[in-house]
Amino acid sequence: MIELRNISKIYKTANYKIIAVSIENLNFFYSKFYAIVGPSGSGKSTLLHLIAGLDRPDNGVIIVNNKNITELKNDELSKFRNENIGIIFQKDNLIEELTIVENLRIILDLNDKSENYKMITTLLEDFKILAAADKFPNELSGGERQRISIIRALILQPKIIIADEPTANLDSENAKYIFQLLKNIVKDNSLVIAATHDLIIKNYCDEIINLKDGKII
Amino acid sequence: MLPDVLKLIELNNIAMFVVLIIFYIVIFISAANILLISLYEKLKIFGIFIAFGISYIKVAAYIFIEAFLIGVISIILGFSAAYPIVKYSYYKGIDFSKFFEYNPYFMLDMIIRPELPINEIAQSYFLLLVILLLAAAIPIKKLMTVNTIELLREP
Repeated sequence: MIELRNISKIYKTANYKIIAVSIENLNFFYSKFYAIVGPSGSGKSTLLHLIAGLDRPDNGVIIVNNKNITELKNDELSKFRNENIGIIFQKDNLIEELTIVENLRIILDLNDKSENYKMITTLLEDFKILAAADKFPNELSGGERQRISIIRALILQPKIIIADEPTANLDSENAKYIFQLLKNIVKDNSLVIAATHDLIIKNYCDEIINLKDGKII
Repeated sequence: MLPDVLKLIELNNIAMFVVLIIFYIVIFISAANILLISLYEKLKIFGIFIAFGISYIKVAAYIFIEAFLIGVISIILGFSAAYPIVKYSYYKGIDFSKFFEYNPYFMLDMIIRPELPINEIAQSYFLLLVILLLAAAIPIKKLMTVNTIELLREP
């Protein structure tokens, strides 16, 4: 379970102070697919980054599986992500110099989980993209790249999947396919939180959280 | 030798030493700068690794190993290129006499035969490796201190 208590994230510039996120109380439960929707600048991505421990709130606490992650140091946060969280980025952040298989293997290698190599083939088959295994990311379409991005998030077998605008650069058919894949992940007692503009997500998710100006409406 | 000539030689040695130090500084800063550019271009990749839970120690070790290997490969390539040139120049000699033909009072040999003094070469290579490893510490410090999301926002 993920619990957010009185969290806020404020961005300060020389002249402005922008409250990116301000949430009093929000819980996420396992075996559910949550959609965070809202216009651009509503704080969706910031909220996901806070939950994933990629960024830190200015106030409040975030508790994941009874552990307050806001107190963790950078290295502890990295370990926490390693054990709990898989991240799907809006820009897939695949390493262009490596093939698809290498992009996936490097995550396993650097986490000393080379014994999971066979999972790569299984996941590539499940996601119907095995033919792309030895291609470079720039040889793939946006939809294919995003599927690889999802596989990379799953490869360490996390129970929580954070997806930041996973369908932002995709057509509606590919978007539906990606949402269906995320929905399938939830069946495995996982928790998926996806931020999106794409309202077709309501056909796939269990709960919608509407954000505006960093607040739940 | 005349005291004036001794003084002149001493002055020449000091000038050469200063030029050498400046030369080393320029070379070391250039090498460190090239390494830093290459590492800063990879900050986003390091951010991806950290986002996927890879420990900071591993990423730091990766950066240090990369800096060390770049240093060692540069030294091998540089030495391999320089050694035959220096040997050839030593054998043939570099003739400076035409630059000094109107100076009959200059007593030194006009044919220069360059050498590679192993001790000095080893010292400078060792220093180069130390400089590169110190330079590698700069991006590592950035990795350690910023939030991961800032690394992912790198171009």
